[in-house]
Amino acid sequence: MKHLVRVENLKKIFKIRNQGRTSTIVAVDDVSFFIKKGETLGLIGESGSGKTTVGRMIVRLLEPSEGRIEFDSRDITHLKERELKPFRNRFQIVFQDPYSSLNPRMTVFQILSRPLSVFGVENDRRKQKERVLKALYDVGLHDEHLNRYPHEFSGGQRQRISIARALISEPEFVVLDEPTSALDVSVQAQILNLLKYLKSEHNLTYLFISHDLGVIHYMCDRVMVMYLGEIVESASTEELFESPIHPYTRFLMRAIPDPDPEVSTKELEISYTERGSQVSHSDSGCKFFPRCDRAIKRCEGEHPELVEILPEHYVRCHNPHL
Amino acid sequence: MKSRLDSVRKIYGRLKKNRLAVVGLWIIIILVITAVFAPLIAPYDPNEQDLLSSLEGPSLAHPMGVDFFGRDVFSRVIWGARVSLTISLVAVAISAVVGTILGSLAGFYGSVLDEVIMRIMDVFLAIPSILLAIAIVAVLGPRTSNLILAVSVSTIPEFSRIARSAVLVEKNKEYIEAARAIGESRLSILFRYALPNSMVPIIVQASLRMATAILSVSGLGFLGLGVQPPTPEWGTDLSLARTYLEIAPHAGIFPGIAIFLSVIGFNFLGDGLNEALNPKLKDR
Amino acid sequence: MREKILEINHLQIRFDTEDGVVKALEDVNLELYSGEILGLVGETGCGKSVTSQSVLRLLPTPPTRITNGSILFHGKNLLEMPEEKMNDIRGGKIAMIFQEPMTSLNPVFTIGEQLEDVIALHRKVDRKEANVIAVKSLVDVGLDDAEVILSKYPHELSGGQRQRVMIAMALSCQPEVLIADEPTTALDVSIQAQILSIIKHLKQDHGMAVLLVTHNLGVVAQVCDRVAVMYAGYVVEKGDKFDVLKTPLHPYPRGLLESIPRSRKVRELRSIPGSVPNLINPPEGCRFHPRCPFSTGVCDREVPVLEEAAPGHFVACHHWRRLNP
Repeated sequence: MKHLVRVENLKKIFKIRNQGRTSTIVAVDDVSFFIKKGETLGLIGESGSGKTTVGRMIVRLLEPSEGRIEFDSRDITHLKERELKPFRNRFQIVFQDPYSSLNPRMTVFQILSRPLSVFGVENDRRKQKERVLKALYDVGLHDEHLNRYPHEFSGGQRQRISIARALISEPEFVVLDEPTSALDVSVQAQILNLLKYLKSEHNLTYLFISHDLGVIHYMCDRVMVMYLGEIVESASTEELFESPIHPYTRFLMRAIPDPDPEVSTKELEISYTERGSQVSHSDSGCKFFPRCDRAIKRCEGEHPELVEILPEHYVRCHNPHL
Repeated sequence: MKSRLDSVRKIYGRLKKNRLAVVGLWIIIILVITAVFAPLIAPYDPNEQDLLSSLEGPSLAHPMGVDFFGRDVFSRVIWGARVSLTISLVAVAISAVVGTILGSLAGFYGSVLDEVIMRIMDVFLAIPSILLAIAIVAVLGPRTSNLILAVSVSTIPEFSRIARSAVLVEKNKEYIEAARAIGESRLSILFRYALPNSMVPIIVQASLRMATAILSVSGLGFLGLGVQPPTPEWGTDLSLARTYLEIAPHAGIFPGIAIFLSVIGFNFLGDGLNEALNPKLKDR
Repeated sequence: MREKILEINHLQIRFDTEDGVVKALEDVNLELYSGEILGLVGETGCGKSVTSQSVLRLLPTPPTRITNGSILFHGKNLLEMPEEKMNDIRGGKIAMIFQEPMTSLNPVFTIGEQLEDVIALHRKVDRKEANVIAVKSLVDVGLDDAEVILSKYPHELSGGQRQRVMIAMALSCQPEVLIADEPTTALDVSIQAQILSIIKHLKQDHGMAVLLVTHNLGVVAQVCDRVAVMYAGYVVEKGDKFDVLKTPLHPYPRGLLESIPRSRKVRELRSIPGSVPNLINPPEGCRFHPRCPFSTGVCDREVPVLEEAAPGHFVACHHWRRLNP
């Protein structure tokens, strides 16, 4: 199958100025992957893993420090905003916070018709209105919502508006950056099912970013696990959840409480003291070394590479759990 | 549309809780009515001289007395509202627009543009605004247009500072990123997204600046650099009355009270607006 | 044997806002027994946080009005207690921790200064002794390098460490009841697991009763003994966690459980249609009826009462018998 998105050796370094001193943080460190047309690739990690930064670089809201991004076989890494314009309506992004991601001073119609005007897809007002209405119906909203302002909607409805805004210009690829983590579970399920429906309806390709293993499991075909800026494991969803190999992935799976009390009560035997408080700054070793329960001598001094341990199953670990 | 009305009603509801703001609002309403209907309200022509009754005290015929030139003080105070208010309003409007544009450009684009604009503003801010106004009028001559220019130039830096910081806050919100993702141009992002959401502090500032503008206009008038006689203007009249303040205090007191009330009115309203608009008018 | 430490009866709370009166709590009935962890779950706006904050009378009045009900602590009504006595109870007999520990710590003092202050105040000991207790309570919550932590400022700690400090602070006064309001929501799952295991150990080692407020049913399954599910100002179901989470009787918790994506098995997610009602104009009758697939005529007229369906398992639904044959 064709690769719609290809990312090679992507790196993002943030400079932080603190009282005159500049320090640097490597948020994304040498990340490479591809996304096949029509699939949903999951990106999972905790805060500080760099997963959000990866998403923003792909849709060019953040400038990569190093590396290369290809969209539909074209290098878009360093395109200027003007050169990027023909691509902008082909990839879109949905943000996490449904409260801050909509302009509070615009009505739903204005929010949804802007992409049409900007991309020059449709400039006639009457036809714009038709398309906006169609997009609204698509996400489960109605005519009466057209002239309301964002603050008149609930979180779930706002997220529907965000999704409609992303999809109205008919993109091929959408980055979903924790689209449901600010929502209640009952509403989350609505949005997840909506996203699934829209994907099949519009032949979309998704990059689904989340910290929630359950959500990733439900939505994705393939999953990458990120830890401190690196991909530590990547496999098909089925394989990853059935036989996780990297100690971090296994740790995550144990840490997430399941709503079934019989499953959950047994599993809460996580180390009680905090060992991961001091993040190792030695560049040479494995980044997960300070928290790892399977660490061996080699892990401290030698940084592991991402290796294809099983077919299509990549792991970055010296002492993988096989 | 309905929701716009609702939010106006809500803001008014909050404003109403602040008693001083309501007082300020009423003072301003009365002031505006006076200015608009001056010809109907004023019993006399403000420049009509009746030298025989010069410096006469308040009476039924002349509720605020008569000044040295035999003119009715009440009529002059009423016409003065028109002059002060118009000049101040135009001056504040100009400085609000110019200051907001400069400040928001500085805040939005940052780097060199920000440095250049804001350092220039700093220079202006370093000079007390009344001194700056005096200097401008002194150089260009005391004409109404120069007066407006003087008052507006001296208030531009305030507006630009406030607009800049408001835009800086908005600039980092997610809806700005969303706008970039749908390919909006930088200018469009600034004027359609960032700026409309930065209006609250600017509106508050405009009300507060109206107070200082009125004070500046009458201050310049008092120094003889403002509106020139015989045009009725509170500051100018106050200055004329000063000579006879001991024998005819009324000629100075009433224009003084008018200045005082209008300054206080805009200040109260500005403070009230600040409270009413700030606890997030976008309620979740 | 099991003593009822805390009892909330018919609690009804209103908020006066510009848009109208928010009927935040309608009729909340809860009891917390000694040595148990009671989970209080529900979605945004269900009133779980309001309930937990009203115990220590932390809600500002106005706009809050407590229009009915009582909160009994060892049989004494906290709602009628004079303010000075209440101050002894806050942080003394009943301690509370919040979602964002940063906002509950003073940024200009070190952890040691703040922790020792609290201990000196409530335990009535001198500084030296307070320091000893502080170190011990930090070790208790898994912070082994206690001395180092004590010398640091809040911003120098990680989110997980701050929450541990808050728990230590709450514990240092040996409270009988700990109220934890979404204590792990702002934390990563790995840290969450650690904090939860601390809370569980507290119960086991110190016999403390914990009221754990959360929106996460997984958290409840993991650490709680009993659970109360709230919806729009009512407790709709409560009981032993195995009963409520394995065989929920009320359509709302049922729907919730079916809408959670699980990492252990994939199946079609069934969502609850609609969203949480506006509590200024809540639906008449059962407040869940507009979203309920089983609602009938009686549901929009009459408020269902909380009745005991099985020993210790309560449900407030007109149709629970029909739905659970």
